[in-house]
Amino acid sequence: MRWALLIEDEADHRLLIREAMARMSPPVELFEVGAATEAIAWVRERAAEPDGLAGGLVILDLGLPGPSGFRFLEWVREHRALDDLPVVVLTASENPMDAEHAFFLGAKGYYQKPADFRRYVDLFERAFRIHRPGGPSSAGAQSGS
Amino acid sequence: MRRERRNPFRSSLVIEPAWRRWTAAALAVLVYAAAFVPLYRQGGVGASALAVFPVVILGWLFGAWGGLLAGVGSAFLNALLLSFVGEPGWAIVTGPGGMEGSALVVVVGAVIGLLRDLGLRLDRHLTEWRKAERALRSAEDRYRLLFERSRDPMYVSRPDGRIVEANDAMLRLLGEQRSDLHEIDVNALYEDPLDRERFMREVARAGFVEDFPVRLRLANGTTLDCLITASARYGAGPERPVVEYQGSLRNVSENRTLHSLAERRTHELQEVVHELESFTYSVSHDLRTHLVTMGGFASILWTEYREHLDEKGQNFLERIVTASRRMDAFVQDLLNYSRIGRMPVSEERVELSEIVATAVATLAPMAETRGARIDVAPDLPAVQGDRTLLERVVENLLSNALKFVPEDRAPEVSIRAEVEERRVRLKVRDNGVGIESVDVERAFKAFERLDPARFPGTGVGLSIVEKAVDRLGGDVGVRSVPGQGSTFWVLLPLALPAELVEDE
Repeated sequence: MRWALLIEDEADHRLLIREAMARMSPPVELFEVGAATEAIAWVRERAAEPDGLAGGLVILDLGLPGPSGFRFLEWVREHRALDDLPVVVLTASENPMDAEHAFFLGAKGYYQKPADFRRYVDLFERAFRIHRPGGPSSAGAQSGS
Repeated sequence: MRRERRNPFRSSLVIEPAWRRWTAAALAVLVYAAAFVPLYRQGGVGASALAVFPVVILGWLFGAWGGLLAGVGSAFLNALLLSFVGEPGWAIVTGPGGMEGSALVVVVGAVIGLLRDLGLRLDRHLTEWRKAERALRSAEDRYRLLFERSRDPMYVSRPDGRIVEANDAMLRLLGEQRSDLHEIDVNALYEDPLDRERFMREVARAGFVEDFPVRLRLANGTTLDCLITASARYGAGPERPVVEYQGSLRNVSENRTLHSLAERRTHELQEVVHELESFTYSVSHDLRTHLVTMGGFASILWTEYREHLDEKGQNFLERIVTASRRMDAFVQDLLNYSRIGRMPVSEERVELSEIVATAVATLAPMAETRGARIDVAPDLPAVQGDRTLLERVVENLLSNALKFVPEDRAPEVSIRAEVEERRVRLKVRDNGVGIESVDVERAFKAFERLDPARFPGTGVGLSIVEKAVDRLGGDVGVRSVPGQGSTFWVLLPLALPAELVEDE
């Protein structure tokens, strides 16, 4: 089963994204954390399991309490075992400078949160298609994008 | 300038005008002729000796030749006068002693005349010499005044560092008293002794320097940035050594101060602009955070819970969804507008035809819904500018032309361009509602909308055009007939000739 880790502090946005994920098919198992430190702990734990990180996508908000989303991107980049873990940024407002910095730190995508709920589902489907092609079974393969 | 007074020396030598001279001469001859016979009869004096009197006068009046002729003439006159009174006149004059006397009188006349001529010549030389001296003195006065009164510091110095002369401005600049002038050592004034060496070498080589930059350190410790313009004076001798520098200084310290002040102000302004931009960004970000929540839940309600509401409730909900969509467009434009202002601008050759084709393709869905006809001139020129900004300009102008056309009319848009000297005028004409001339200024203002009831939008389009054109170094304007349509134009720099670009 494909899964997503949502790193988001805004409760309203978490609820919206949870609702969107619930409407996806095949279904996505969603995990939610509210800070970068919690996310790091979660990824560590998950990486210890065999194939624990396969088929998953990390959805990261940049403005977080404590260490920022950029700090999380740096942490992922420092760990070679996480090279295959795609992280995409989902932010309230596009900022070309932030986008450039995020890509520099290894983010695979940079998306703006839509103000229309219907577009979330399309957005996540596209993100899985690009960064986890071939569905859950071949999730370990490099996307190359 | 007329001569102020006649030279008394000269007036005693020359009697003018001529008729006065001739009258005096005639008078002298007449007096002589009348007095000669009685004086001669009295005896004791030779005829020739008496003749000395008029000859001297005539020589004085007419010069050397006059004196000579008068001497010869007097001998004949004496003979004539003596024969009148019954004496053997000619015999007396040519007799023993007579010839010698006559010759002596001729010589005396000539010598007196010669003296007069020499005197006159001397006088002429003296006058000329005096005139030259006066001219020289007035020239010297004039240049001295120029030197002393000049507000530019000027000086004459020697290679050993002594100052020979300096004007008041120079003393003021150095903060020295005139009495200490000769105590100043120029070598010690240079902050960097190497500058002094370079200055001397350059003057020795070229004979002068122009705007030679130096930094002086004064006795009180302040430094001055100066430009020296100086030339050399050479001494005698086969090597023609430099003996003096004559120069002037220009104090440019103040220019530097102004320059750095302007720099600081610019920096402060840039900081303010930067602050405003980050403020705009963070405000837009926060607006959008809440908008995402509002719009998100409103659209879930609309898509999934609509049936649970009655018609009135559905109508209210639809209004919320539409409003949040509008607000989203507004915040997006706000972000775009602030981005136009701070994005870096490149300068490259851009084909207008490509930019227009892209814009037409982007707006094709909008044009199709309205049944619009877009007519693009086949040979649009290339311009010099930033591709992204140009895309923004053309896209906004085109969407503007399509948007402001009444519902019952199919939009007709034509895109043309003309080359005007070094610029390109791109014109976008529509058959829309047009703009009243009093509203033209408002049309380009950010978030201003002229007819919000009829035409939806955020009011940012034209202000993005204006800001982008400004950053491209161009100009924008509109000519409009209300009710019939508008022609928006932008002036853009013409692309550099291709060969120029290849040379780079």
